[in-house]
Amino acid sequence: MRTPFLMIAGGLSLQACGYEEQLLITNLHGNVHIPAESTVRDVVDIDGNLQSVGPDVRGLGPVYLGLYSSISPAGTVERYPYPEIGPQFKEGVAGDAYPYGGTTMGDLRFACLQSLSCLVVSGRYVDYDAMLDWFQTVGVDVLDSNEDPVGNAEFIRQTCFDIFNVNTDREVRLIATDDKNGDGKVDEGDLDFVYDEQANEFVGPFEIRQQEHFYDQRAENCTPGTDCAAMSVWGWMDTPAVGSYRYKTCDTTEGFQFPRYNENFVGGRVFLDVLNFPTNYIETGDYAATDGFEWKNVYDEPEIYLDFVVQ
Amino acid sequence: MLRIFSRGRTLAPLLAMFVALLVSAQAWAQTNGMLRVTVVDGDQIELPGALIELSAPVLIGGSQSRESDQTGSAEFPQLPPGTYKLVVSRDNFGSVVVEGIVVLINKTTQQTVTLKESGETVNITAKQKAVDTESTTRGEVLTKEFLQKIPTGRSYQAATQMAAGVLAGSGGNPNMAGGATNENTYMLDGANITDPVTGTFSNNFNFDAIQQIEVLLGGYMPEYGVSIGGIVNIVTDSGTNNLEFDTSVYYTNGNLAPKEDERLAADGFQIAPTLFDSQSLQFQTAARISGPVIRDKAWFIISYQNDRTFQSLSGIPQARDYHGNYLLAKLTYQPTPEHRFAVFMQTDPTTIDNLEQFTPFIKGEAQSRQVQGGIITNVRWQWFLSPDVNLDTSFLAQKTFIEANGVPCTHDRDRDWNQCRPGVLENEVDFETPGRVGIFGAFSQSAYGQYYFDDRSRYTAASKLQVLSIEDPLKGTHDFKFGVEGTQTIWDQVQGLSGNTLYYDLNVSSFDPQTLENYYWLEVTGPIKFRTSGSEYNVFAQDSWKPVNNLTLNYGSRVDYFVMRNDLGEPTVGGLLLGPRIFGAWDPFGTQKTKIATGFGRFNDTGRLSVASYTSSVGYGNKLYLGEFFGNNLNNAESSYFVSPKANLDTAFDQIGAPRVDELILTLEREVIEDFALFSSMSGKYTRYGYEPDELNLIYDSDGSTVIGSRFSQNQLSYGRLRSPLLALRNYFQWDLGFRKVESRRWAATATYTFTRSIGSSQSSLTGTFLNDPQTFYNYGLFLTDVRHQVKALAYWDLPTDPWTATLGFIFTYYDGFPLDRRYYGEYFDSYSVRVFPRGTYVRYNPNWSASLNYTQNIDVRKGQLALDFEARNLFNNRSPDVPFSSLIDQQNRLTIASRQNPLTFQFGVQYKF
Repeated sequence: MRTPFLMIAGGLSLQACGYEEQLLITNLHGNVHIPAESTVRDVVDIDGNLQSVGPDVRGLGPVYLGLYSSISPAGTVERYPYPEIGPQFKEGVAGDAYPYGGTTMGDLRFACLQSLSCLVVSGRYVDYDAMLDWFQTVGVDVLDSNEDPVGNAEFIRQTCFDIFNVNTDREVRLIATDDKNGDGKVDEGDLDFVYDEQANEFVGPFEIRQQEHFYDQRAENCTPGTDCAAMSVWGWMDTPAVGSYRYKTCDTTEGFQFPRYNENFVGGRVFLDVLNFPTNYIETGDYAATDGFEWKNVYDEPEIYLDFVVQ
Repeated sequence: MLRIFSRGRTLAPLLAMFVALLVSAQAWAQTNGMLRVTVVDGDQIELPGALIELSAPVLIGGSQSRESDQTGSAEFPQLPPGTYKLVVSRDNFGSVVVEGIVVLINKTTQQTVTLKESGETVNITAKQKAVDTESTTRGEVLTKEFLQKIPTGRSYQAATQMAAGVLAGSGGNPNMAGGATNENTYMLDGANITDPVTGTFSNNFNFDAIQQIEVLLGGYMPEYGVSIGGIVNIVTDSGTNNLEFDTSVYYTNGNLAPKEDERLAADGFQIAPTLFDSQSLQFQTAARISGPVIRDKAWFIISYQNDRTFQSLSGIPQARDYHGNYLLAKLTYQPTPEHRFAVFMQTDPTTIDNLEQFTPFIKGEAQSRQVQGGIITNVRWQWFLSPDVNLDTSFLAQKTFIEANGVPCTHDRDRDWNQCRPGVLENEVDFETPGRVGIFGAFSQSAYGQYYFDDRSRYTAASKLQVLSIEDPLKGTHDFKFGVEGTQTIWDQVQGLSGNTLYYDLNVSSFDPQTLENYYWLEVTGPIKFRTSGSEYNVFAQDSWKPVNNLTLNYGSRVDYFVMRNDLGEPTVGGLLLGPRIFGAWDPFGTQKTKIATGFGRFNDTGRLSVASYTSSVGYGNKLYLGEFFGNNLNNAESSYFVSPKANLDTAFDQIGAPRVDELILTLEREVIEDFALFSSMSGKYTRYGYEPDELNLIYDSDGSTVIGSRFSQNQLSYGRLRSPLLALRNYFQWDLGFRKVESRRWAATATYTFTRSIGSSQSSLTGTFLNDPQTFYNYGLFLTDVRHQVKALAYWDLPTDPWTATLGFIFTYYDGFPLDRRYYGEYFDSYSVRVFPRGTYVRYNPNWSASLNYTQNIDVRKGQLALDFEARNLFNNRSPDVPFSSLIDQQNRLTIASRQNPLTFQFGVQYKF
């Protein structure tokens, strides 16, 4: 009697393990490469002399990555490489690119002062000193609520702590706080991008969490998630505007509400349709990927090169 | 004892099984216990042929008798829980009378009787075993006598908190054994009465009608149904041959002690004192009558309890007036020894009136009055084909309802609002007059006007065949159980706004009623009616195998098929699930003093209708009109409108599965000195494939704080897809260490230290953990129920004050503070909704502890007994926050406490019974 009972119990256990979702979902990892020249700027120094600044990671704008049906070469949809788009219902109004997913590398973040609204991207500064120094270097005035120049980076930090009611840098999410590369210290190596001197480019890893994989349903003689034609990873960088240093992808009418004393403003936030209508935000000087990475195999780790300078 | 394949009686269970299938029925939780008697002589040699007579007031059908077999044993299965008496005799020996044998739900009580050749009659009183060497379950059985001696709070929900492994302070729907508050199963006399929509408890009833409560935390067999949390199995009285009556009055006051609390920052820093009124005032009256209709054949019980509770909300004294009426009636009829019938009815209509509101800007009565309750009817037939074979068949109909609507109108001219319209009778609910809502200090001029009718039904038919004490060729014995069940659940909802319109008023000058103007109003479609439903069919088979006397192996499996449909009738959630379990208990020395129990079980969750309703498509369409305020040249906007009937944005994934829990247990128990046992019990529960929706439309930035695109080109809308992903998981570990002193020398006690660790992505279903992909990283962490260290100690002492009997009861609880989250500003949501740290790692509450005391004085009076009961709960008025989920770290980094531990509360009661 003993054996049949154990066999039945064992068999039931095995069958009960059979359920799975059969969904191709994974965390998509890869790297983005940006030419170092994208951060080189000519600025007027304190003596009125023109001098070149960079390469400097602080000059990198937010990078937007999207997953699209396909990528059209420059000169077809737009003058720069551009995702395949849906129908254009109105002349002169771009069609929707209908992204399947995406992420950012560096987020537009309210840096606690009105004068820094839409100017600061996370993952670019080791500390507040680096942030203040950068804006002083490129000639952007960092002002307090009395319109006086801020000369102490600690003032920015304390202002952030004050308005967000926090007491750690990590909660503010502006500067580097985690030892990402595991070298025992938090420094430039822990920013979103790291300068590769040999290749003269900035390289940074990205991750798109819980991304569902879509492939060409008409494809034949292939294995989904392995070698079927599939969507492409493509992206571009919103380079800061010359002079104002603002980002075109930043909506100055939305974001953190700051109603206090004589100040009443919002902190800015990224437009909600940046991946749907990139053409509304890409402008001269931005860097886009010439080619998209066709993500056929879910285990692929794309290398995306933002090597096309929008003219 | 049946011998398998060797007796003509073998056909009987097969026939019974066939009948069971025909009637389509439900596996019921165990409601009975078993008594095993072993008769030995003075040299401890087994005595066959001894006559054993068993009797008890709770045993309908009269006393039972058996002869001891070759091993000196006799079993009495299927005994109603209660206290029994044995008379054992044999030729050439004397007789022994054993009284006070306690039979517990789902337990085997073992009683050894020693007959002496002296020929005299010996009277002894039985003692409960400190170690149950045959049980593989984790949990406890709380008897009526025990509950009367300790300060329980007089509700089965509060009594459940007594069990170790039930998270202290987690309220009426506790977190049990790592489960969520909506993952427990509540059973009344074996029938599942869990709310089919929410998965929470659904009914209240008379506390004094409880015979025993079985609180199960793990290791239970398939007959207990589907549950991935704990099980609360309540068995009620059935009456006796004696006409019995009791009545009681209890007054509970929690308003006598100071209630001033500290207001704390998240780091424990005191900001400022504040008053936090968690007041509680309760009047409870109850009456119970039971007795014979036909002596030994038909018994009845009718029990009624009236609860009037004034329970405050945060900072608002006496804001809610609960008025509950609980009525229970049961008729048990056993016309022949072979057949027993029981008809059971229980109802608990309750009204909740609002005396004050969350905001002083709305009149107290203005918000909806709520009427709720339910009725359960249960018909049960037990067919005893032989002492060892029986078929248990039941039919259950359960209906609960919630009705919330505007308060009845009035003709009282002093009340300047909610006047009855012409033709509308006083106290009639007005579904025609639009409601009004006040803004900026503008008092609401009428009821909100929202009404809501909610009916929930459950119909179950079930049958369980039990074939006990089958001997196999290897001389082992088996207790087989096989059951089938079918359940239909229905959730009907009607909701709307009176007059299909809602006005919003404001004071143009804040708090100046002279400047009251109509701001705008909404006209909405409605009322909206919709139905969500579910069907479930289940089969189980299990065996309790004793290959040798000191080893018990419990194994079996459930097969559960279920489907739930949304309001369109579309099947959105369903599955075919297997739940195999195998547990074993070993008494290594065969002395009934030691137990090692271990095993594995899989428990599946067949969901709740609230899960299926996630994909419901109903909703209001509305039209917006601008009111007088906008007409006063304050704004040149004209009346405008928009129509936005809710599209069915949420879908269910076609490959959806069901959550499941794999459990491993290891228990060690040892009676180290007489009546005193030490125990260690470990449990690991691993939950996978929780019900969670993921986001189909919105695409987030790297930390999930804002949106950068949308798949469907609608960046203001979230499209959820209901799934059961592997990543929706939680891991739970619990280790109980403690001692148990069973009642002897007039006292009993138990103390348990519990270590737990509770970590994962979702503490309950549909938490939204997967709606924001970048945040999934932070959403994995410690749950708010991760209370690492917990101590519970219970004791009672029957004071030597005869002839009067007095009892002193005591409870002490200590538990760590709950972990708290902090949320940060997210630009897209324009609210504090984003995690920066993993779940549960920001800060913890301070530890919580309390002590409660109970003193009962029984006084014999003419024709009965009077019991005076005094109870002091939270004796030292500790006011720590005691409920998880109800408190938050707000955007100012301050701890916003929504619920405090109840203050020092006194309860006085008088009970008279005869």
